[in-house]
Amino acid sequence: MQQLPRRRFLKTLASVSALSPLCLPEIGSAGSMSGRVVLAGGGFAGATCARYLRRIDPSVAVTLVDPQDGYHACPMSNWVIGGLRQSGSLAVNRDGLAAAGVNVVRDSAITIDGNARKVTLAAGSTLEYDRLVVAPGIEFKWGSPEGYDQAAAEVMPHAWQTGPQTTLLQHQLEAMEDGGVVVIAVPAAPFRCPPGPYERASLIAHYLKNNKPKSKIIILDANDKFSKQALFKEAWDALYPGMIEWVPVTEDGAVKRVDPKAMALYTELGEHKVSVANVIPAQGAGRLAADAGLTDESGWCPIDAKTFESRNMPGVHVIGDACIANPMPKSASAANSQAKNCALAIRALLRGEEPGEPSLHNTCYSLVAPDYAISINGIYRLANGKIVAVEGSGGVSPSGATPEFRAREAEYNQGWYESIIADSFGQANRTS
Amino acid sequence: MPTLNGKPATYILRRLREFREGRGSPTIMDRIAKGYTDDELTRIADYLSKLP
Repeated sequence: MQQLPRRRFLKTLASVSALSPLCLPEIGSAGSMSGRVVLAGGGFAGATCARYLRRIDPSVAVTLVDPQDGYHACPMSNWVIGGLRQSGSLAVNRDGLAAAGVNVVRDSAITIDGNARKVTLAAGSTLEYDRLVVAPGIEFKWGSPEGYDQAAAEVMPHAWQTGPQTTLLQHQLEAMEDGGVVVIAVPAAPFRCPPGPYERASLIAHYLKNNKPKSKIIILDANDKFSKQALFKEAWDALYPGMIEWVPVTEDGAVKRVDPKAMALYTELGEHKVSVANVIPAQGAGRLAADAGLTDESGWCPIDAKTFESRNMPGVHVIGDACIANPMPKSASAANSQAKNCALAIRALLRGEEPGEPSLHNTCYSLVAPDYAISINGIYRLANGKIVAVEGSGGVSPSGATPEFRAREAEYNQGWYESIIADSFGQANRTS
Repeated sequence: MPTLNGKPATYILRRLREFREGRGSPTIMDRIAKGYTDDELTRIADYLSKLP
């Protein structure tokens, strides 16, 4: 039998812990189908929920609808931009879903009839459901900043969804002259992957330090603080002194307008002419959620934190980046954990039982150099109907840790990714 | 590096409790283990000990 290395065990534990402590339930007895669940969206949230629904009750008929025949994972996409990983390695297929008995339909869900419990697909067909799970991820708010539309993104890539945008930004950095200025424009929170822009700055700095050491990175930020801030700054001072300048909103950091032709970004008072512009636009819940009326005035989806059922439409659950689950961040790990808890709630609801108390978990690693990573994590429970972090748990990596400690976290970062890909999309997608 | 595959639940539970107390040179497992009760750690250990 193959032995499980300790480090992999630890990562596996991190990824399964949201489910296992409270219930790895007895497997439901096979027989007639005991319910129909349709999932719209096959990212970390939708894929995990579909697979775990089948795992905890094989009598439930599970259909997952997604227009893409595969998924391009966003964690590790900054590794590609920093030249540390091939973009093709982030593609995952649907084989693990099919192996779990999930019916995968390659189409887009476009309307939801919450009363008739039917969802209509772009090709015209309809699917009936007992429970619908909406996991559409994010949608960009084009025009925020002003002038930033899809055409502008071909010049000033966002690279906030993995695919051609990721390689575009990487190629722009490769083509840039030594001494160039790279700007990363960060929107006001909330947005997908809170530490992402700062990990990106770190790995771009790693690339530039080795290839174009006279270059500079400016982070123009619409926020006045950021995730793992002290740890990032400690790393930047040690590894990339003078290379990364962070401009918070309080120092006119918010980008209001862009001009792709002039390669210029405008803040309230300033103009920045740059060599490479990575503009991360404002975001809201994915299109289906907004079209179906699942969002509130914030642009995200309010949910019952116990079941992830929409506050706006009974019978519909929203998980992943699209839902409002703060203090949980919009991350792959949070989506994976929400998906498992949602699957358990749906199983209970289909059986007419009271759903159990959720146990939620998040881990986000950020790589700042090939042998240097930092992490933030949280364990969450429900208190008075709200998601709260368990007191005394979670937090960030220690400041001032040894190089050996940072290197271990870099190793665990890779293991975390392998584990969560296998857990969310199926063993067939293990990347190691 | 020691392996945990096939280790009994009692061993895994001992390690998890050590992590919760900050022992066993954790990087993140201490921050994770502190989020769970004794009962939950026991059930985690039991689950992991039964993995193929």
